[in-house]
Amino acid sequence: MTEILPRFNVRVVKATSNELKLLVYEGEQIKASMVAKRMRTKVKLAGFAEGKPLQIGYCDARTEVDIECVKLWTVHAWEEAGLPGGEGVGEAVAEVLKNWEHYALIEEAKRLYEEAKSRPLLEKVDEEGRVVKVYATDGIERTTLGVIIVSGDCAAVSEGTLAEVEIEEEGEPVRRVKPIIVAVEHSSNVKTVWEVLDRDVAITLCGRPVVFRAGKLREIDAIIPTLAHIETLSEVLGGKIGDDETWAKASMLVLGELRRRIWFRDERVYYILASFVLFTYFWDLFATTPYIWFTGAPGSGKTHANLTVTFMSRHGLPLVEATKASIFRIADAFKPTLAVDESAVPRDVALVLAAGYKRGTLVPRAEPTKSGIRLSFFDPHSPKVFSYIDPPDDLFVLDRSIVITMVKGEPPYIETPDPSQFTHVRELLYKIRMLKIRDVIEASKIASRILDEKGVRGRPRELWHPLLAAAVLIGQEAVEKVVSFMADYLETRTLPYEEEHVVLAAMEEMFEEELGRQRLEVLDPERVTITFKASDLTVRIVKRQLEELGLEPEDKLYEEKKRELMKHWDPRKVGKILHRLGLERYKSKGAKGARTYTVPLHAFIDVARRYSYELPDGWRFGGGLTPPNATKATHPLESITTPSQATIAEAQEGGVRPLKLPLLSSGLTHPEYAKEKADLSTKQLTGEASTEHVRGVLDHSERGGVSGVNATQPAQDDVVGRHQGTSPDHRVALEALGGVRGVEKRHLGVRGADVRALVDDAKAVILELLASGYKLLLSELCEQLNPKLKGYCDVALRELAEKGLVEVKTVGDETWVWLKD
Amino acid sequence: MGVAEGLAVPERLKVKAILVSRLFRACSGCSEDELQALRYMLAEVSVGDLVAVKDLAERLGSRDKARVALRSLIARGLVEEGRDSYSLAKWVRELLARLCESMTKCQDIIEAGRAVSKWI
Repeated sequence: MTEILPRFNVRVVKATSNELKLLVYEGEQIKASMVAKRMRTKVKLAGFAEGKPLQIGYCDARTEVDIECVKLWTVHAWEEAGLPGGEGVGEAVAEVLKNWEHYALIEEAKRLYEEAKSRPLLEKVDEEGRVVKVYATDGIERTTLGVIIVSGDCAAVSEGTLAEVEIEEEGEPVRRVKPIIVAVEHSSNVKTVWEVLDRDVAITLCGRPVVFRAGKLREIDAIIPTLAHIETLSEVLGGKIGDDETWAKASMLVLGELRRRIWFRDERVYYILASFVLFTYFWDLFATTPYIWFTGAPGSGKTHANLTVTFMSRHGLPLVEATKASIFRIADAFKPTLAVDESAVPRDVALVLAAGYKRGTLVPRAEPTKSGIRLSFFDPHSPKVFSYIDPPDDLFVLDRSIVITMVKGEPPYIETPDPSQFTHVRELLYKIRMLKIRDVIEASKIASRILDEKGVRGRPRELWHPLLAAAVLIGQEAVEKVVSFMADYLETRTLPYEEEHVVLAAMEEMFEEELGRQRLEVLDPERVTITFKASDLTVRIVKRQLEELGLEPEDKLYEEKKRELMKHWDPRKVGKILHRLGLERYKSKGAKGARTYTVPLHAFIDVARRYSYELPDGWRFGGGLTPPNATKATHPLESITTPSQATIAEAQEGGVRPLKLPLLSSGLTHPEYAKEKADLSTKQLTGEASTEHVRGVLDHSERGGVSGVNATQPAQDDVVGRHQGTSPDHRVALEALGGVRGVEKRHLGVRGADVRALVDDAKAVILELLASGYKLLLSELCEQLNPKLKGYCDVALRELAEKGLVEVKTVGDETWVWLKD
Repeated sequence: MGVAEGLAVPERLKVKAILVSRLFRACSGCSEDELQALRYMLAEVSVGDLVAVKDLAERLGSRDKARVALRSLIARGLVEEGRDSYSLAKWVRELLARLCESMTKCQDIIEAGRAVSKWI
């Protein structure tokens, strides 16, 4: 509906098939109004520009409007009125008249749409004969004075104040102080409306019903000196705003006052505070509201700074002797910028106040009324400025605040701040809030892009987005200063997840060990899990912290510190932290009632990401994880020599000998094996000895079973074939091969389970390596296993061969292994 | 690394190797009872809890042993407990389905599961 030309801007106010009403703007300033009325054969043109009526004109419109005539008339009338730029206006007006029919149709469609939209969803006549219509349930905005609504291209903003109003009551004019609201809708044109809130008033702004609630205000008997003056609001109703009345100009005034009254060592703080002051004029546009928290020694000027900022802010109100209940009511009714000072508000009340950081958090209160108890909800969400000697020690407040430490300085102007000293700043800001809200919407988008580029997410983004949007309105310098301050602030502030990070570090250590134990290159890393109890983490955490302190077990302090740390990080606390991290669902109850966590790697990575815990290089989020100990090779097989074509041919066509595993070639004989076995059955094996013994047993079994067969078996024989034989030697070999489980049961106790696990792991890794589909040299294959598993390579291979999963053959001097069909 | 052309093994062997290796890894250090239970579950894929405990009790000697073995497999992520039933974990079933697809004579994943049960 708006035609934009280089200089003049014509907005269509009304378009029907018979009548067209236009407003001509130069920039944001209105220049003229024009009306075109279609008669039977011609169009009658009239206008009013710069306080003077334009000459009436007629143009031919028998078939269609004579556009050239319209243009000529506009230029002529414009010049007659002594106004410059007639050509431009003529072009713009002619263009609109050319598309008269289009505008009329669009207007008609819009009318139909709005009519349909305002039609009640439900309608009936009740038992008492009243017509009841239901329009909407959600989407209704409830407010008292101020609201900002953005819906598509439409933006609406309201502001209110208390004013002396004369109202007729029972035929007599009565003067009373009443709340007044002024609302401006910026859509295709600017629509303004004002209402006296002596009752609840519903206004549709940007197509959404907004209920201004007088009841909430009636409960408060107070005058806030920082509310907008009625003169300012009446100027807003007139739509008048000067070229120099901009956000940048207002911010200069704010910065000037701040520099004059408060001394900060860091120049950037002035811009942070100026951004905050501006932000209070559009804070309801954002879902979150950062707090300013002044801290410093007594006499460092905290209260002074707090009041200076608050009195320049929208609805600024210092709290004195406030109780929790009264604060909620005031915050709900006036949505003030509250100054919360140590001298006037107890710390516990201040902490309750800090709860109103996010939109939508409501405080319920049950109130006795004549008809019984009524449950009311209060919205404590509003900007707040705190001034306390100490910085906030509660994480949730610290997390939501920008803490500014003050040191004693000498500001040039030391008079105690008073609301009246800042009237000029506030009134300008109120006016700009109402008439330049679109600038804020744009600034918010720019700020969002800057934060995207800087990679700021989560809570820090909630905190800094509103301030950065305000800085964009101030100008480039402010943006640079705020971004620089933000970067320093985020870097140096205490991490809110300190304890969580300690627990995650211990878990990371466990995963590293697990990944080191397994070979992940060909595995799906998401299947890797660690199993632990909370007490396991306690031990690791304490060990790490003792190491960080540089304490050795022989140090005097070691035991004392260890006890202290064990107490601090007791398993119950670790359990609670794991719960906070959302790892509760991986918990299961063990046989003896111990709570065991089995956490998969992907869950750990996900939690680490969410809690901003940095994982080492190579750990990537998402699917493709590289284990921390992975070599540069993308695949383990890259370092393995593959057989030459000649060898392959030999292996495939003949000349293949039965397996001769290197381990089987020692010269021990069967009786020695029997002796070893007897030894095993009688002695208790512990530590590495058990492993060695098991290996020994296996070696000997193979020696007994295979050495003789190798020489006599036909070429096509393989390991499995041999094992399927009936020789007593074979049985001995098989017993040893498949009998690790048996050995573990009979002799190895706890260590036996470890051996079994290592053999199983070795089997898994061998299969993964062979899954590439190539034949591998036995020695190379075993070399690929990690040191812990290497010793079990032969046992694992034999078990796999026995099950018919792999084939092992010797060609010449080389033994090859591949997957068996 | 050079690549030995012409030696690439069929898809079914790869799938088989991956599936079995994962089973080994998931059942790393499994006791003989647990292995028995896993073989049983591989052969059955999904089975009612009463039947599963009864069948396994016959193999392991007691119902308690059967229950303990099944619990252990659940903890290892190899078996899932449904409503009055035990089933192989989804990832095992998916790999069995892949294996079955790659095999020439395979009707369903139960057939593939029975084959795999012999390899572990």
